[in-house]
Amino acid sequence: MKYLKYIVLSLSLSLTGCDFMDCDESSDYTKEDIWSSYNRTKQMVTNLYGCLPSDFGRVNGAMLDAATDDAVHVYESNNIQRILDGTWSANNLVDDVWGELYDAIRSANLYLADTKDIDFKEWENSDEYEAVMQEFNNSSYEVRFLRAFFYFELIKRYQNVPLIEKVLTVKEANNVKPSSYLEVATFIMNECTEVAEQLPVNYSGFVSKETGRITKGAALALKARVALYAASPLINTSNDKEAWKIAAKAAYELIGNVGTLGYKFNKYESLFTADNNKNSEVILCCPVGETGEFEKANFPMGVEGGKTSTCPTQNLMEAYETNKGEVFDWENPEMRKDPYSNRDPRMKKTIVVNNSVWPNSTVEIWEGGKNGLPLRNATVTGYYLKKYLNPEINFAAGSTVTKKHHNYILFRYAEVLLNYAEAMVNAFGNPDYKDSDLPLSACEAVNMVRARTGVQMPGFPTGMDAKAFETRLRNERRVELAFEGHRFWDMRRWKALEQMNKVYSLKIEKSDDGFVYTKELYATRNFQEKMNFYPISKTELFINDNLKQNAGW
Amino acid sequence: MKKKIKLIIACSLLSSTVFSQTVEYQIEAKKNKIQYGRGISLPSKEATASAATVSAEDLSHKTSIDPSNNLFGLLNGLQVLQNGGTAAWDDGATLMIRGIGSFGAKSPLILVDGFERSINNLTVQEIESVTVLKDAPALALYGMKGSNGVVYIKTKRGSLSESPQIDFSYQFNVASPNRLPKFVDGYTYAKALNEGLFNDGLAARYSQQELDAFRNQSHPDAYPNVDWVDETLRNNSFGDNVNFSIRGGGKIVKYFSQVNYLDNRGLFKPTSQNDGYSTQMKYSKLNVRTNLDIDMGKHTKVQLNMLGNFSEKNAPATSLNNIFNAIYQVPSGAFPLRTQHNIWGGTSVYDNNPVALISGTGTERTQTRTLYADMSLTQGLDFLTQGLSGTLRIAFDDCAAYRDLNSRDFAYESALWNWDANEGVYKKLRNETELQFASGTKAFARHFNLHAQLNYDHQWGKHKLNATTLYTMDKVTYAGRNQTFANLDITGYAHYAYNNRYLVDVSLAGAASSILDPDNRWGFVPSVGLGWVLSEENFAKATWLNLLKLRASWGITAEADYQPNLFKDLYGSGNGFFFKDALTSSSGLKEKQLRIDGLTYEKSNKINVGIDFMGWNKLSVTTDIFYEHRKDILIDGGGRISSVLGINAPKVNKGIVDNKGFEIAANFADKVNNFSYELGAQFSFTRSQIKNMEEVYRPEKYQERTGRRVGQVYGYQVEGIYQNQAEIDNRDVKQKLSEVRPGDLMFKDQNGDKMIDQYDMVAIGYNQLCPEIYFAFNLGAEYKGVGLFAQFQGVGNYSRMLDTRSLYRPLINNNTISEHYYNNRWTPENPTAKYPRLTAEGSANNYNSNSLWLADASFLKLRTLELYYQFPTRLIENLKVVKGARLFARAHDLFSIDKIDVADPESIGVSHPTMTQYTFGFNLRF
Repeated sequence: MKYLKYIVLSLSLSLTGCDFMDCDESSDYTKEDIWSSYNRTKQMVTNLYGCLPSDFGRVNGAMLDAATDDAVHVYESNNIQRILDGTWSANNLVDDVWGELYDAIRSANLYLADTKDIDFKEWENSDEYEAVMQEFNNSSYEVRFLRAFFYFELIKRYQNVPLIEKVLTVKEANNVKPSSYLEVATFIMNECTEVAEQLPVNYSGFVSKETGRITKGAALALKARVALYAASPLINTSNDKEAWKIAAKAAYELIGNVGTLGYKFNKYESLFTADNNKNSEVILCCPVGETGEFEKANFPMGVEGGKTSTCPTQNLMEAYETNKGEVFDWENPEMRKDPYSNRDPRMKKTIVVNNSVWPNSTVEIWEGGKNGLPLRNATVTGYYLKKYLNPEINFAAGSTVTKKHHNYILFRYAEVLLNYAEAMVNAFGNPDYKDSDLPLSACEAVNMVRARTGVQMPGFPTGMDAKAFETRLRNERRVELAFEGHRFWDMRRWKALEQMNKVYSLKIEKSDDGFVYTKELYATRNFQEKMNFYPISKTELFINDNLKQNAGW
Repeated sequence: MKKKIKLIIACSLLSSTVFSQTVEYQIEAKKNKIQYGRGISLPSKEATASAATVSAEDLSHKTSIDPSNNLFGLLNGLQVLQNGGTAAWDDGATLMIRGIGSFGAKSPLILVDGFERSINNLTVQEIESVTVLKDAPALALYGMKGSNGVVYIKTKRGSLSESPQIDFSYQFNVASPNRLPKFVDGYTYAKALNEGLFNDGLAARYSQQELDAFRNQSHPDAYPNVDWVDETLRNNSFGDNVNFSIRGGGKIVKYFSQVNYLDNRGLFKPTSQNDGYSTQMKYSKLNVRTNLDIDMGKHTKVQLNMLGNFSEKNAPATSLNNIFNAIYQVPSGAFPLRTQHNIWGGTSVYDNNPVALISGTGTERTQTRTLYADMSLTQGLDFLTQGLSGTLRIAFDDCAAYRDLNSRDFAYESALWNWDANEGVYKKLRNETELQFASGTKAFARHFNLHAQLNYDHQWGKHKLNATTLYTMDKVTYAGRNQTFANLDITGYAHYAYNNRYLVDVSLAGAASSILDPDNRWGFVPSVGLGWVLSEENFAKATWLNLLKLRASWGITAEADYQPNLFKDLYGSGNGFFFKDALTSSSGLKEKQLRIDGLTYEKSNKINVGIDFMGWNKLSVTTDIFYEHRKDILIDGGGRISSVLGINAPKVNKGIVDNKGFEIAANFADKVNNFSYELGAQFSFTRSQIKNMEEVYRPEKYQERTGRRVGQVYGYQVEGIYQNQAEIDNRDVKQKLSEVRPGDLMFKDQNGDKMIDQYDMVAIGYNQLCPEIYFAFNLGAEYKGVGLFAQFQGVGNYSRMLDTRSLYRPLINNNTISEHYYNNRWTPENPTAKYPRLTAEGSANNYNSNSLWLADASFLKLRTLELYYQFPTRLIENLKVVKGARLFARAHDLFSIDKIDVADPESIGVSHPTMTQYTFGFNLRF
């Protein structure tokens, strides 16, 4: 027993080694695990694609359009109403995506920093090496596009934001300084220019043939949009014509190459179906998978499973011209008598009007009808939403189709043409102006959009006054791109929020000889200048003194 | 059952005394040793630590399946809260020592014979003593696990005796549920649903004709009325507890051996509808313990302890949570128990017929085997230096649970009444499947411990020194990934006493934990304890004064109880996306976790001052005041890190919590002629305060958590109920939480911004984790062998949020409605109602955290009431074999005085009910 002490000592020492304390059974990956495998490296990019935004009701089920004069969200406690009822503030945020966008930006920065020196050389002798490297080498351009896209999502909301191009440490994050809107916009446009030179027109030459990835067209389209925003009154306060010219040129970079890029118009309604990702007009979309949630939210009350949510307004209904190209005027008794006939065909593809068939039976929006007031949560405006809703979906008992693919369009060709038209008329003050660099006039660009099969609206005449042209162009943009996430931003960059203050609805009564329509003022909004930008969260300002709150908040 | 009662009567006729009288024991205990654990124990007179101890005698007033339920109000400073759990075998109490010292409630370290082990594998009968260690001198010995206090359980051991002492006891338990929920009948449910829908502006669900059918029960398949609580639960559960132990020893070997068998037959009613198996909740456990002390020569001692534990659970194949959720959810008017075709009732909404879940899903049997084995070898090393000895202890514990699952789907059908055709319409919604058999391992745990230590005990003149150096290794592995944890400690400890009056305890430990960064794994844990035995001083000596001691201690204890791998950057699953023309989902990966630089352990500064007093050999009083300042608590750092960072900020060791309180316990025992009695009381108060939590920006001062209690509840202050639309419209304050309608709760606008939103939530009530006030009192009296013992226990400054489905959240999520809510709901005719209007759609305005639902959860419970008869020696002298006999009847949790009334304040929510237990039994000693 005298050696007991030694036995104890040596036993404990031998057991003390690293082994005893090493309990590593981690199930997650380390940095090395990620960048040593091409599949995992590629998955890091997939995650970034997954950060792309969509608006099938992004604010607790409400679309941003419900904060414009295009629609009303039927549920009064929805957070979107804060924008309208004056309770929006730096403590009560709406659509606050600051954090999630910086998350996406960090992921992009991390990818770019960590893959800079990777070549997967150890797989060099593999048969697939070249094909894999083609994808891998392209991925950094995709990532740079995505980062640029996320930055645009930031500045259009928050104006001046920190422009971060590296992976921040915890300490650095609290001391970043904001860059101005224009600095960030310039960064985005430069990035788009650079990556557009590298990105493929499509992915048919790649081994995975993964359509839906970022193409050259997407980069050009983003650049055109950002240039247009930067030239718009909100930012371009001195109305510098050069900014408009830059915007026009950016848009023409795409329009002029549309042959090689392959964008073509199809039927208007085919843009909003389950397979619109294949539509040749779509430049980039965000698929959200098979779902029936958008239908659940927006099918009319009274349709099994429907909950109304988005109610398109009388304002939007009136924005559609007659099929002869005249402005629709409710005060005109002739037009009012049969308001839904002889209209721009896009109207009935966007909104559901009384006594039409939707989704598979006649909707009764009149008072006392099965989809009308006083039924609770029935539409308060007289219309239901149609665009992007899939009428094949049915929630009745026994239905087999309760979900379908939905793909939210981020860029399509029509928008680029409208961007171009707006930039051209502002740059040159003449809707018919064109030259050798920009051989398409504003008027011609709009008319290309109006002339598509199934729409075939009469073209804008030549010789219009620039002011009148722009007014009509803005309306064209409103109806063409309704519920595609544009008006909310367009009215801001045009500094025209107060034009949305009056929201109208339609009261429909059924009588023995048809329907009686009464236009009513539904609500008066109080849009204020400060709302051109979002408030930055007080939580962020509290942490970082360098950040500045936007004016008025 | 009848048989059992006969057995009791028969046995009781034979019976006679077991244990020495409890009455003088309390004071006796104080003279015993206080276990610090780690092989260190001190005579209680010499201890400087704050500790509380109970003996087997104190525990003997109750037996529980899980011995944690024996501890209510016995150990001052240990807060014990009752749980309903999912079954009788799963009702282990929540234990906390000195309230909340960190963020969230933390469990103390539980040691059985010095090793970290679960209490629920023990039986009450094998426990010799339970000690609660509350302050630094003792807790410093536990390295990275010490800060939350220690519950030290010592099992019984053998002792020198001429002949073995043999004890046999049998108990029969009957338990009945406390405060079962009462739900309304089918007709009332249908009316309530219509009312809720009407309030929501929706069409009625049932026509008048249909309501009449509910009332008349004219078409019971389509318009049923089933009392699901009554159909699923019987009034009582039953159990047995048989214990046999033998204890004794000679010069070489001392032994304690015990065999215990207990069983429990649960509350379910429809359990015998299947051939070949029962679907009752049944539990049985066989515990076999042997503790041996072997003297191997003059200087060498060996202890061998072993506990084997075999338990079996039987239950329906579906989870017990499912069953209790169904009992709480399914309305009595939803569907019949069985339709007229003898098929289980159900609908497309309710596939959870509660009776069918119990009877028709098959059965699951789980067998758990546990082995606790430890050995210690102590070698005197006097040949090196007088008083030196070495001890080596090794423990190896293993626990595994296997299960057999025989499961199937039950068939059910829906029933409607076609009023036009005047006939029932039945639709089968699922067919019955065959029993499917599966088996496998359910859980396992493996625990290895090694302690090596050198002790030095020396006395010279008036000096006394005990010194120890200790090396411990501890590694535990549970089933699953990232479930291995290792700890290493090196500890030096010294106890010094001068002239029996001046006492000093000093310790310094180095401790390491595997969940800390390998490069920064060690921490240091110092402590000092001082004591002054005033009663030994000449100026204070008095015959009536048995003991007066002042104690003071300080130390920094440690705690590292985080998840593993916090010191690593980790990547994991991210967003997916759809590529290709035929949209195909691809999964993504992303950076998930930033490592914590400088990850460290919690450091708890503990200060304790106490007084121990004993006088007249009758009265003892112990009181302690403590202050704990815990820093480096690992908390979310995100509140102070800009989200421009782009990833969740890593946690930071920056949390600081203060916790202070006091405890006082007094005991008085006396004997007058044949009448002996004992009175005891204890009271403790603790309050925590957040000093730093890297709090996020709060626009309103009153919303700041810093400076408040840990776990403080926040909610809206209810000012009343809106009586009509005009009142809603006319109020200049608008409530933004959800659509507001007459009958909805009206909240106070705290910041005066004319709207009610999240910034109007204020601190309400206390916390829901641990009551600030915990107290108990007991009395015992005995006259000529007839004895009575009663123990009351209560809490104060405690809140619970009442949000139990159906009971407080009726109709929504297809819930039923309780009678309690129905009778107290707002209607225009009942404007002073307690609860808001009914709603079928739900209401974020009414059903949130607010002062209506936050209940004062203070209570006073009668934990134990015992009546016993100890047979006098002269009665049993003639029965040569029997040396003692006792007969007893007990009731536990007989009543609770509180403000909640329809639910147990300790068990809010859907769970197995807490039970009132009645026990009849006898003890025999041979």
